[in-house]
Amino acid sequence: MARRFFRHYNYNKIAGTVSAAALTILLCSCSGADKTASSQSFVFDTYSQITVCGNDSEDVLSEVGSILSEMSGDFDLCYDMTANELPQNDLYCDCLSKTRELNRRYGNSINVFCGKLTKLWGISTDSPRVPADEELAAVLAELPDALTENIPYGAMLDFGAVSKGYACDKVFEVLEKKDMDYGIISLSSTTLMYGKKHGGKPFRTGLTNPLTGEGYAGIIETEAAFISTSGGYERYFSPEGTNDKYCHIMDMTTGRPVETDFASATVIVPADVTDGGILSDFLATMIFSEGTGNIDKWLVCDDFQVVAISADGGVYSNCEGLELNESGGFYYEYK
Amino acid sequence: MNINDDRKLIRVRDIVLIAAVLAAAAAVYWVTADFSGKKRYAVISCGGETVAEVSLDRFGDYSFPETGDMVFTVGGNGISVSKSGCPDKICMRTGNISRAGEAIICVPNRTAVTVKNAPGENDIDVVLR
Repeated sequence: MARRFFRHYNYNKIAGTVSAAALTILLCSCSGADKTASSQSFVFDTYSQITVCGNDSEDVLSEVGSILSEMSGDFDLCYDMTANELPQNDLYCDCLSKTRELNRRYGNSINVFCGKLTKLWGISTDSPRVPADEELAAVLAELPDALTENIPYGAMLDFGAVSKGYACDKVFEVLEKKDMDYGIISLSSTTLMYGKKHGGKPFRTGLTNPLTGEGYAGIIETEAAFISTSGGYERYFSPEGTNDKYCHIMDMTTGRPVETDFASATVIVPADVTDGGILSDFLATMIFSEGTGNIDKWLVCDDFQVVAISADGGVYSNCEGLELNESGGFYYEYK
Repeated sequence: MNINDDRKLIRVRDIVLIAAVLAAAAAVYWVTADFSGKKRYAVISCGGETVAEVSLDRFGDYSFPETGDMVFTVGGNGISVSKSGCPDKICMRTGNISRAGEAIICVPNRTAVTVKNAPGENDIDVVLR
């Protein structure tokens, strides 16, 4: 009956078209999809999202995951132990020597020996408080110089300003060794964009609006890169009954949270820069702390790009891939 | 005039074939609609395990046994955490999120809310915060 009905159609042609379409659908749904693996976890006291794409992506994903959680645990130890109680492992020595190298190159306002200061304030813990002046003076008097070669007995380390960037450098090494197509490693404030996305599209990173903590100040399009952001809009504490805000980034000269006119500072380092992760993390904190008064010197550097946002929405940037959210009240002070 | 006349522009069997193709398309849509129709949705996870996926067009309050006393609210501006017993309330202060890649994080409750797109939409890869 059906045959008689459709006798004027060319069955071979129809069958050919239908199978070609089916094959296309099948190929589209398979290509890439089976090579991508992703996971989420809580490491470095934050939420991490990992996506890797390439051969054996599941294995690479679990390797990256265990590196991050192991490192996160090791760096966590620093908050509770003094330097001489910490296990003498390569991780601390290597991270310390790389931070010192950055201190020598860019300045020593970031000091990994500030652990006692961090602990005194307890910001980002359950019981933050504003310490008395005498307490601060006592800790500051014992604060070792950032470049000191001999770690004094009882000094407490805090790698908070560099640990996520350092971890991204280690993940970069793994992704490169395994020859992955691409990977996105997000540790909230530091992200590694590795390789090339399929179709050659750039990576797109949303920059949280630091004035409200909601929505975007802009979107950054990049090739493979390390991107770090630093700001006081998320981790801070306000003592009950006051409007004071104390952010988690400390000024090593006063022992108090930094007073800066920046709401956030973001640094983009191309992924082909060796140890670019720790560099981006370090510089983001430093540029944020220094404020608008010192921004000019950072905007003329060639090896990294900066997007710094002042407390009134003014943007200082030399980043070519930035789409600014101008309707959200952000405007260029420097472009 | 004979309806089966071959000189007619559209014959009955054409209509039957078109109807069959449309029916097949509808069937494919029916099967896949639950996935592709879910244009933007929030994934709520606790300790890295997915607790729920909530479509952003289903307005209302949600809570889950895994996330304790936390209440998630979906409204016209996206999804937010409207109640949480955590000490710092960073999750509540984050406000509404609605674009793919945005996230609300509650470290004390080890809970994360992330907005996702159906595959293929050109949006951002990651949010820096």
